[in-house]
Amino acid sequence: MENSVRESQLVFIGKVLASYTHELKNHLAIINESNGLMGDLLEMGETESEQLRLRFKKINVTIAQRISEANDMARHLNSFAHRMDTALSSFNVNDLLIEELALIDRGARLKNIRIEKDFQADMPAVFNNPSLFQFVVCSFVYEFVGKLADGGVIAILSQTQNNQMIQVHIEAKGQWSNTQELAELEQMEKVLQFITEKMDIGIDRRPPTTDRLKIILTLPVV
Amino acid sequence: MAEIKVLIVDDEVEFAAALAERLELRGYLPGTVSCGKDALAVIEEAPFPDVVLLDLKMPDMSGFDVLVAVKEKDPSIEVIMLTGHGVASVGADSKAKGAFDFIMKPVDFKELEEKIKQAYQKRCLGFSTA
Repeated sequence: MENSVRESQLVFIGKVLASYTHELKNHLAIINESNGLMGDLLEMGETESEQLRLRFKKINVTIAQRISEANDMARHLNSFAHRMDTALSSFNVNDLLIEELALIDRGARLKNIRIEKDFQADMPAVFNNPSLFQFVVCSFVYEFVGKLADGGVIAILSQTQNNQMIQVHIEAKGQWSNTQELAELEQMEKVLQFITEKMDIGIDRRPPTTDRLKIILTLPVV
Repeated sequence: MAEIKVLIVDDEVEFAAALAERLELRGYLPGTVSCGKDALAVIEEAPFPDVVLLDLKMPDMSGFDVLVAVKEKDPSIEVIMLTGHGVASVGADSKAKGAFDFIMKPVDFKELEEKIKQAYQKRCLGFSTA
């Protein structure tokens, strides 16, 4: 089982890296074409016109926006990598959820899956393994994105229970791509169950219906 | 060389618009759409594009599905796949499905223009030998 966990983690990290770098290349492609277009306009167009000045201003805004988005992505990726620095640390569950959902966002959009977020403010810190926590959450979300049919919704909620426990709900709503999907999810849950037991994280699965499946993770507050 | 009609299919609208303008400045006749379904709708209308620049990952259909549908509609339309995907097998898969070639994003514009010209020549050759 240890080997399965390691393999699953490596697959997960690979997916995250592939997704991030792909998205970064998209931003770079837009910056590259915008820069090329400005060069072309200078070389081939009129260099003094007011129209050209306005065009440059617009292109400049596009470049600035894309640099900002690429920078946000790089920041998230950097934080994600540093989650693995120490096995155990104190962290805010919401910070980790925001970080990893930024990773998944485009993949979900491409499949026309909507991700709904409802994070309770002022969450107390937990002391646990942040990297494994992200792995567990992302494993479910990735699987849901992959297995939900077009138009599905993944709702993610964080909340405290009497300031003693923190719960993260991950709920898939919509039709599954095919009936085999739920069986595959059960297999993945066995691997994750092994991890969560070691992490003192409770994992609860609400019985799936044809159009709903909810996973609840429960972590003790520090 | 005659004006080459190029259809750019990419959900990154700013990328497609900038690329289209750069091609237009060089005498091409570019058009842009942001999804596979719109691309297939354009292919249904005359005049057909000579060359399609097709993003691999789009919200409604995968680039491969669009590629296959385009080639079914008119095998002489040449398709160049555009992708941020870093795996070399994507190129082989694209060609196996009928693409003329593939180019990685960010695009080397000179390389792209060269491939567009080659693709157009291949299309013209198909007409002359048909």
